[in-house]
Amino acid sequence: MKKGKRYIPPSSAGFSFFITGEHILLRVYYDAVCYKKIPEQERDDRGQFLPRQWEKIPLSDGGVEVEFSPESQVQHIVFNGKARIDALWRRYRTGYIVTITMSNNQNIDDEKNGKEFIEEQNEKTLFNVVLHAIVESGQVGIYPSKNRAFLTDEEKEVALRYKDLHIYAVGHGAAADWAFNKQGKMEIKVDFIPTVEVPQLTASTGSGDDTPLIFAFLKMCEGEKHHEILHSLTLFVSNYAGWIEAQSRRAAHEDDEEDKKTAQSIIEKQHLAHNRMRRGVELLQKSRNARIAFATMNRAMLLQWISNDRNRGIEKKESQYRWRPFQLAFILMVLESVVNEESQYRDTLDLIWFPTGGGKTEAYLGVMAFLFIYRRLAYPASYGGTVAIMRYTLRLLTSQQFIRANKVISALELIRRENGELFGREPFSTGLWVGGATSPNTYYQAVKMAEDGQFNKLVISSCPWCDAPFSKKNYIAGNDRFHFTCTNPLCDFGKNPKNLLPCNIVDEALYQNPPTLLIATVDKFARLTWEERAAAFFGLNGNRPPELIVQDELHLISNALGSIVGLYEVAIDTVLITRGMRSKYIASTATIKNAKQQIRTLFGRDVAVFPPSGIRCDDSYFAKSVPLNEKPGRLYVGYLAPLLSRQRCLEPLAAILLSAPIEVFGDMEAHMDRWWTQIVYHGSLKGVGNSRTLYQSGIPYLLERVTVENLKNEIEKFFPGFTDDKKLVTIDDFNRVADVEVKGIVEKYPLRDLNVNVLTSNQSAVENNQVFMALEKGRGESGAVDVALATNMISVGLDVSRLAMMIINGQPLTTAEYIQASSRVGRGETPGIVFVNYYKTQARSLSHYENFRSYHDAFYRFVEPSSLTPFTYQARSRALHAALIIALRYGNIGLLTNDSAGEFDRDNQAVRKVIKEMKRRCAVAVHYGQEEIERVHLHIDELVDGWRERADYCRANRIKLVFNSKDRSFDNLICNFNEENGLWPTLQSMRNVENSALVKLFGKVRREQQ
Amino acid sequence: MNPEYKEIFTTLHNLGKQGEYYRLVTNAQLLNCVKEKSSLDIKSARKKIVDYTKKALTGSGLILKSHGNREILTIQRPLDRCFTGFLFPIIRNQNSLDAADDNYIDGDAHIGGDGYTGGDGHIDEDDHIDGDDHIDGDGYIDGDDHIDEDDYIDGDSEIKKRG
Repeated sequence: MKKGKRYIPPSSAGFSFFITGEHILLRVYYDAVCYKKIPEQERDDRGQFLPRQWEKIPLSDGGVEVEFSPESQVQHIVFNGKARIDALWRRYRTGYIVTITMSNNQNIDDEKNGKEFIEEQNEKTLFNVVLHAIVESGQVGIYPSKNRAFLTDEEKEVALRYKDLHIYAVGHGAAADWAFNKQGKMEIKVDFIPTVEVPQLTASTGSGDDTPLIFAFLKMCEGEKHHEILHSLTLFVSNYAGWIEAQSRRAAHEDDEEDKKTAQSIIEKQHLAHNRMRRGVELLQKSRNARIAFATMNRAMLLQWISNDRNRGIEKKESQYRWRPFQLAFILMVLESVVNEESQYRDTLDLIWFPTGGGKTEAYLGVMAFLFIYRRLAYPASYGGTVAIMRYTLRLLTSQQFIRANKVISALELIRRENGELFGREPFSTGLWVGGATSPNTYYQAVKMAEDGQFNKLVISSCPWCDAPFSKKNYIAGNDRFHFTCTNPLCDFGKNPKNLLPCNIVDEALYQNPPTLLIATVDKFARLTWEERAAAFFGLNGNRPPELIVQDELHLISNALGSIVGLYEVAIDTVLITRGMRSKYIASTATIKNAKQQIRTLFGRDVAVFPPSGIRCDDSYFAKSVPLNEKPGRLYVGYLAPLLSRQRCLEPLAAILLSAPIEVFGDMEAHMDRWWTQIVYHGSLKGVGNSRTLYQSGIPYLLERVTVENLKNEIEKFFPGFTDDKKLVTIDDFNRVADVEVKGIVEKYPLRDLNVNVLTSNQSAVENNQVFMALEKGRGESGAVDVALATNMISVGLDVSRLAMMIINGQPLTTAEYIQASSRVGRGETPGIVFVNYYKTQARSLSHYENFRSYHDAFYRFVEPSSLTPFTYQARSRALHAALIIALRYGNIGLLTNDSAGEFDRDNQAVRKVIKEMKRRCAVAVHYGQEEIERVHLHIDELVDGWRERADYCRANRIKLVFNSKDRSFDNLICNFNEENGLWPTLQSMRNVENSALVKLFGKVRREQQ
Repeated sequence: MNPEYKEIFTTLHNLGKQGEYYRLVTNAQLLNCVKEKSSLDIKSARKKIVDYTKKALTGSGLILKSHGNREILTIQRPLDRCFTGFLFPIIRNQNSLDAADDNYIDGDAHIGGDGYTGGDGHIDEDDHIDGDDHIDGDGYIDGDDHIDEDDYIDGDSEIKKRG
């Protein structure tokens, strides 16, 4: 039998740092305790028998130190030989890299039997280990890192922005922390549970004059006051210019020539943003239509905020509703390129890069509202149909944003109803275009849901405008129609006799009446290959095609999904250009790196990040770090259990955190709820399943043990010796105690009956929404959640202000994911705590644990570039044909309908034009050089030939070639991946990029056969 | 304990009136206590949570019984109650595997976690191999109720008899 390998927990811990100086002297302070098993029959000094347990033995009496210098001995044996302190000195440049470690010097023989082994292990382990190095003389320098010569331009900018945040030490087997002590000497220490508080960012910045931010002020832009408003906007923009000047002066003082050059490149981007904002104001000066659109947009934003607050019983003055500076600045910056198809920046994707919760959505909703109005004024004959498409990656977020966008659209619609002549007869509307799991795709499904009372599957359960809850009568469902209505007579929509709400969620309804704003998941666009009716969204009946594409949470369009999306983007862009529209693209994210290449590959466009960063990370004018003494930041705490397996290491952390509110705030109800609910983040569904088991057994068991310990401690304070009774083991035992005073204490330590919920894709959207609502409930309310076990689906979109406690169970794969997930807590008044549970056997976990401080001090710096490769053979073989079909079907060249597949003629002028445009679009996005471009072009040609051959074959054999049909007498151009009745297996969703296979196990495989 | 209360406690304790003391605290003086605590700002409240958790995880906050000048940990073994902050002895003759060894297949090597999608379905991207399928070598499961101290389960999930 093969000898098994097993994990052995570490016997040493320490840290390394870089130090220079002529006379280097380190004082190393150390401490630990051990436990000695008490033999039977041993008595204490009062003659009482000791319990047969473990006695704590302090190994040093505090204040013991050893000294190290480059010339001194490199090892000290301490604790009577039980441990040693080592110093390893390595010459590096003008100084040394020093590693200080404490090691357990004791041995156990593995041959011992189980019980002896365990007891010896407990006796020979050093607990509560402390190791500090105080730098008595010498200068600790910045820990050596990657040579700057190897950095890209973007990495140099990042390095400059974080230049003032230094890494002084790295841990080994534990984290390292450092600080100057009261004597002004650097002290570096081992930290087994490291903490770092990350400051919050604020969007409340600017010069202090808020007038140009006020909706009520800006909505007057169309009238006589427009000069005053434009003047105010000019000042707003020039204040930014003033800040840029200050940045320039600061850049001149950089001590390094390379840094000066890098700073200059950052400042150029700031100037560019400033110039574009100026051009936005100039557009408002020159164009009356732009002024009307700008004023109306501000009015709509004001109305929707007032309505929002009115529904919550809040009354505010109109002047209190305003933009955040970055939102207004962004709108001003993109205005010109949004309305002017010939703009120099039309083909630039404007990327809003702002921390989560900063208000990115309002910024692009503002841009959309502006465009919706402007298009009606500028193109009165062709304004109809879909104007903007907003895309998300997650269905949860998509429906949330749909509800949010409805507010703005409703406000616009109310304004239109007042000014029908000016803004046209077609209502403003919103449409949700997502998969069948989130909303009904057909009228039939909608009717069935409405009849069966499954209203929660109809996405909207209350009026988007007045918040009045819906009942059956609010859903008008029929065989050829579906509408939402509001029946509240006090609602601006409900009091109208038609009382229809300007939103829809049924695919068939959207194809019939394409909405002004189409909100969809990126996956849904895979349906374009299959669904001819979606042509309605690309400008039918003489309407202009969509002019604005918004991609939210851009960082999620990466890896396999990103590669497939990249190919469908080729198709969509080709369709829009073929139909005569160079659409404007906007995207948003809180975490991005290498955006330039990602955007180029994905959208075939240049990128402008807004707001451009400052030359230091704490200030970009529109976003600033809030000093920790002004506002608490989010606290990150690292934890690694060297003894527990990946499956069980969560147990003690979760149980102790669950016991914490009662133990710490027993008599402070106000604080009790703050960290009551745990959100436990997992990188996988399997992790959620594993944790679920723990929360059913191991964690409640440990929670009771900890609660009993805390209770005993409290009782012992007042009634010493009371808990010696061996019958008092569980909380139930204590509940049976008759003593009134003791009972009073016991009542303060209730055992939590855990309400554990799950948030994963395995649950339906309705079930997840119910959990989201339950998370809003505070401690003591019926249905309040104690624990929510979640996958990465919470990383974007979860916004519950009372949540302040999260456990990240295992370091996520990417920093972007880590930042996004952990940003879900501490969004309200209570500052967040994020515990990171690291796995002992995972290299990534260990690395993050040992570098905890340096990572968290500047974690935006470590955001990884997204990887997407749409033009590799593997990606092309999955979806390039789909892109070709979409481009040709929707290109308005007579190949749209299902039965037109057989009419394909590659020599047709219009077909050649579309293919040429598609090749051009691919070439723009390919960045591996001409050879790669030629490969892509060749692949397109092969696909074209394949289609032509199939069409020729069908013609010759009198078979009808269709795109796809269940009718077996037809030949299909496309089919599902698990079918063989078509030329090209084609995706139904962009996630399904790999074939799945069924694995069937036939009985047990005997170990000997392996 | 608040020194002021400690003084009262000591007096009452010496008089054998612990219950009276507790009533005092929980009724009258509790008001002061509550007042004192509620004046804590949220940040220090948060610090208390973190400090408590740290102590509980490292075992430095373990509640030990005093027997004269000796402190005794009862009920459980130290390693059942301390979860981090310790250094193990070296185990001789052990064919060990380093924690960061690549032979452990990274159990998290999936992409995109939940694959939560908006389109027309999702794929469970969780088809990874979990490299941590072994239970710790020392074989005790939990606290004082380990299953069988003579059995341990090793990295290959084989159950062996020790000794």
